[in-house]
Amino acid sequence: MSAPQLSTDRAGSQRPKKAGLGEVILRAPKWLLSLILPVALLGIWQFVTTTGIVAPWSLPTPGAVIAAAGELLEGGDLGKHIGISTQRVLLGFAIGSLLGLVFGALVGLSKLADALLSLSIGALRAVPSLAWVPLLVLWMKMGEDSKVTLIIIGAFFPVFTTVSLALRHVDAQLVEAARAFGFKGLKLLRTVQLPAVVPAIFSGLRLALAQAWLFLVAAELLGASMGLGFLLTDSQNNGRIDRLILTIILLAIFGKITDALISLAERWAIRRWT
Amino acid sequence: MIMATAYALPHTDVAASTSTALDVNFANVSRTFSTKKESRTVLRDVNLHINAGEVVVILGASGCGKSTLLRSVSGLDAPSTGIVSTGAHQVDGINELCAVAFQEPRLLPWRSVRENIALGLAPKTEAGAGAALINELLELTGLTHAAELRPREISGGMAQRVSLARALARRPGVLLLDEPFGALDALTRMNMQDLLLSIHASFPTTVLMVTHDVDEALNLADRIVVLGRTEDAPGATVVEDLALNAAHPRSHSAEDFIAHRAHLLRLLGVDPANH
Ligand SMILES: Nc1ncnc2c1ncn2[C@@H]1O[C@H](COP(=O)(O)OP(=O)(O)OP(=O)(O)O)[C@@H](O)[C@H]1O
Ligand SMILES: [Mg+2]
Repeated sequence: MSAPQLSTDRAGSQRPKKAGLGEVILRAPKWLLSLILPVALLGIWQFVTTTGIVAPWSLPTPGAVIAAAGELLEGGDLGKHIGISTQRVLLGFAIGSLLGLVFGALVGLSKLADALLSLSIGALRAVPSLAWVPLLVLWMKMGEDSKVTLIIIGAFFPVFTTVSLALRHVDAQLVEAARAFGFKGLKLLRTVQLPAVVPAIFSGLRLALAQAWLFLVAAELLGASMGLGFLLTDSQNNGRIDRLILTIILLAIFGKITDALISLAERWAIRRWT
Repeated sequence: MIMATAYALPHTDVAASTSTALDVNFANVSRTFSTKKESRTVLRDVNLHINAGEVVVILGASGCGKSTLLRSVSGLDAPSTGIVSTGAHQVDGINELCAVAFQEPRLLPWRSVRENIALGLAPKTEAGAGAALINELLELTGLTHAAELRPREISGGMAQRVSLARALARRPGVLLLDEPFGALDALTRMNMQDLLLSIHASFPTTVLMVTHDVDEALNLADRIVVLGRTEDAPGATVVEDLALNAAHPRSHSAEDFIAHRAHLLRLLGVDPANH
C-alpha cells in the first residue's frame, strides 16, 4: 500500500520543479524572448568577424553592413530600391489575391465552374514559378508589367486554393437553414458563405503575401534595373558582400513587418467571424 | 409586458404584414430516394389535412421519414409524387410562407443573437417594424438580456430559443419544428414546451412539429399523427391520427392521457408496461 503512495509522491514533487524552469523563462515578455536569438547571432557575428575567425571577404562585420546601409541611404538609392520593390509587391499582391478570391469563389460554389476550371488552374499551378520569367520578359519586356504579373501569379494560387476549399466545406446545415429562410444566390453568398470563409481568406492572404515577396525577388533577380532583387545581383557582380547581406536583412525585415500586419488582421477576422 | 401584448394582437403596426395561419394539405405524397444502386421508398401515399392554427405533432420510429415530410412543406425537399400545399399555395421550391426551426439551432456564429433573429424577418420588412418585432420576440423568449451576445456565449437552451425566435420573426403561416427540443436536457425541455404553448397563444399560427417524445406530443398537440409501416408495402404512411381535446396544462395522471400514451407507445413498438 505504502510503496505506490511514495512513488506518486515523488513524481508529484519532481513535476513542478521541471515545469518551473520553463515557467520562469516564460514569465518574461514575449518580445524579449523573441529577441534573444537575433541578439545572440549578432554577437556571434560580431565576434567571429572582429577576431578574424572568418575572413572579411566572406563575411563583413556588422559595422560594415551598417556603413553600407548609410552609404546607400545617403545617395538616395536605398529608398528607391525599397520603394519600387514594395510597390511591386503590394500591387501584385492586391491584384493576385483579388483574382484568387473571385476564381476561388467561382470554383468553390459552382460545380460547373469547378468542372470547367479546376484542371486548368491546377495545371498552371504546377508550373514552377521561374519558368514564367523568360516568357513574361519576352512578352512584356523588362518593364514593370512583367514583374507585377509574376507576383500576381504568385499571389493568386494560395488565395484561390484556400478560398475554393473553404467554400466547399462551409457548414451545410447553416447554408440549408439560410436557404429555408429564402436566401439564395448572391444574398446567400454575402450572408452565410463569405462570412464563414473570412478566416480562411485571411490565411490565404497571408500565404499569398509571402509568395509575393518570393516572386518579387525571382522577378528582380532575373531582369531589373531597380529593386531589392536587383540590388542582390548588382552587389554580387561588384563583390559587395556587405550590400548583399544588407539586402537579405532588409528582405527579412520587410517580409516580417508585412506578415505581422496581415496576421494582426487575421486575428481580428477570426475573432469577428467565428 | 406591453411588448408581449402587442405581439399578441395581430393587427398592430408591427403585425401589419402578418400572414395568418394557413392550413397544410398533403395529397398522395410519396417520396422515393434513388441512388445508382437502389431506390428506397420512404414515404408512401401520405394523405393529411392540417387545419389552420392547429398544433400537430408527428411521431414515428427513427428514420421513418418525419423530417422528409417536414422538408416537403418547407420546400427543402420535393415529393416524388403527390402535392403539398400551404393555404392556396402549392409548394414548389422554397416555401416562404413557412419558417423552420431545426434540431440544432443553426445560428450564424459571427452574428449576435439579435442579428440572428433578424435573419428570419421577411424580406422587405420595414426597418423600424423589424426592430420592434425583434424586441418583442426577445422579450417573449426571455432573451432580452442576451441580445448582443454571440451564439458561442449562450447555452444550448438559449440557442434553441433564438432559433425559435428567428422562425417566428418570419411571421410564418406555418411553423415547422423538427425535433426542436431533442438536444436539450429534461428541465429545459419542459420550459421550452411551456414557451411554445405561450407563443402559440400569442401568435396562433399552424404548428407542425416532429418529436421522438410521446409525452411531449401529449403535452403539446391538438392532434398527433403517427407515421409507420404497414405490412404490405414499403415506406411509411399515416397509421394513426389522434385528436386531443384536453385543455392546457394537461395532467399526466388523467385517464385518457394514460390511455393515449399506452396506445401510442404500442404503435411505436414499445411495451407500455415497461415505461
Ligand atoms: N437526401 C437523401 N438521400 C437519400 N436518402 C435520404 C435522404 N434524406 C433522407 N433519406 C432517407 O430517408 C429516410 C428517412 O429520413 P428522415 O430524415 O426523414 O427520417 P426521420 O424520421 O426524420 O428520422 P429521425 O427520427 O432519426 O430524425 C432515412 O432512411 C434516410 O436514409
Ligand atoms: Mg429527422
